[in-house]
Amino acid sequence: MALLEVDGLAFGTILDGITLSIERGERLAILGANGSGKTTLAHCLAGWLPASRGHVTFDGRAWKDWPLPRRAAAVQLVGQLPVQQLSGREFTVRDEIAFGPGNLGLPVSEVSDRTAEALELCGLAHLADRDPFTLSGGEQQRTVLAAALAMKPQLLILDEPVTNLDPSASGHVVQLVSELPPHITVVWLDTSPKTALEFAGRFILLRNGKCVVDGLPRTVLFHPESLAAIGLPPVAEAARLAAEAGLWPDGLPYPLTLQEARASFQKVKHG
Amino acid sequence: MIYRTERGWLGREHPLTKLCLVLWAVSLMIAVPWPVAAFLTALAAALGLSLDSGVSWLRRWLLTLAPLAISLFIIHAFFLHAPDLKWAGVIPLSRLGLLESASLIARVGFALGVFLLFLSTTHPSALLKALDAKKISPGLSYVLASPLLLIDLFAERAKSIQAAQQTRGLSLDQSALSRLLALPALLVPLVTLGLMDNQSRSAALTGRAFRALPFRTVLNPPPDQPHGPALRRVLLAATALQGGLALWLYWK
Repeated sequence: MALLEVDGLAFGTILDGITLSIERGERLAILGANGSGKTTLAHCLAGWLPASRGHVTFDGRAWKDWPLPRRAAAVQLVGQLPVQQLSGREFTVRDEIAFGPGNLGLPVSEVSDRTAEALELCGLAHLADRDPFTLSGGEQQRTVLAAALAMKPQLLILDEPVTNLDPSASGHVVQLVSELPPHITVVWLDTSPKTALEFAGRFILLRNGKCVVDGLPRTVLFHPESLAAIGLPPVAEAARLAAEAGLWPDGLPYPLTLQEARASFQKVKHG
Repeated sequence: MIYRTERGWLGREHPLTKLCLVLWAVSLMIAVPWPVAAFLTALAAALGLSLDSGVSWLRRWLLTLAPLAISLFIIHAFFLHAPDLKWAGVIPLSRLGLLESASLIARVGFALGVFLLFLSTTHPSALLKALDAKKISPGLSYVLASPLLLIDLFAERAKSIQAAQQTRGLSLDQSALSRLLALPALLVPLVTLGLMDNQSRSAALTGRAFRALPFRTVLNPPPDQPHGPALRRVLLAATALQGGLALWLYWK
């Protein structure tokens, strides 16, 4: 059974008949331009918003049948503005991370272990006693991510988590997500495929509230709808322009990542 | 933030004991005659001045109390009762009004002093942790502590809104009237942003199971003193007794 099943999901005029399923341990990227319905979809997937039509089931049960503590322990959503996701009632990074497990009424030793583990995993141990509101955007985003991971969720939904971060902070977050244990299912929603290409094995294009294309990254990114909505990653765009100028060998696939570009350029160089 | 690190006994006392002390002091304020309240006010001021941050405590207390005291004095001494005295041989005022304002100022000064002593020696996180550790409902403890949590957040935001509005040409250096007229330009965004923030923060809190259970686990709750539980019980009993006495005296 899939971990999450979405069947004919609609939400007002924003989402329109979305059907998809997400397997356990899958790394899925949902891409779409601004206003395509990504954030609303993320909230519906996490059970934060009720569907106006259709339904979302997690582990075979609709979200409405999940008691809040179990739902919070099963799914965590991280959004693009970390400052809005801090609890606002904790004064150190350590307490902020311990906030969620504390709400589950776990024993003190368990809360303490989960907090220490999340601090270590997200590279925040040296900031444990700082006030989360005084951290940089990247550090705050890692704090929010650590707080989500301390809940030990089966499904982690990340809604444009690096949109407001500089390249270095964004790199930290992407690396962290890439190295997450395989039992955590990750859904990454973004406007650009660049970061998702680092770890996602399946892409979905969301356009005007509908899932338009679903498949392997290359299949989705070169689909005409994707080209119109989100464009190609910069390296693929460069290769396409080279092909137009007759500089790209026939039959050689366009690279999507820097690693693929390096291999492709070596092939071009050696004929 | 009003809180300052305090090494004295008030700083070491458990937040809930201090909260009980505040309740007791407020009930005492309404039960005793005004000269006693005036003495207690002086006592609270002396206690405040003995804090590590005594001078700033006293400044804050006086700055908060002064406008209130002046208003009470003016309203009671000049307007509420028929004048039977001449101030400096010229200005008519009422003896009864003077007594009433002195009584009110003494009581308000004492209550304000005690509240400020509590706020200056109790970090909001210590209060929240103490409430959580005593299995008080997380929702109730949030309501109790949220005014303390919001002060800093709102002060920071108000500063950035002021800077943003000034770069757009809002003048705050002119007359008192122009500053008064500029208030909506500062207050409306502050309230709007606060409301917008509430929605996302409440979703984030729910997403992390806040209030899902009637109690929560806390790391490192503030340590209680050996005499703490007994002292709290005595203070709560005295509060009930004083409150009852005040009501009885009032109805009698």
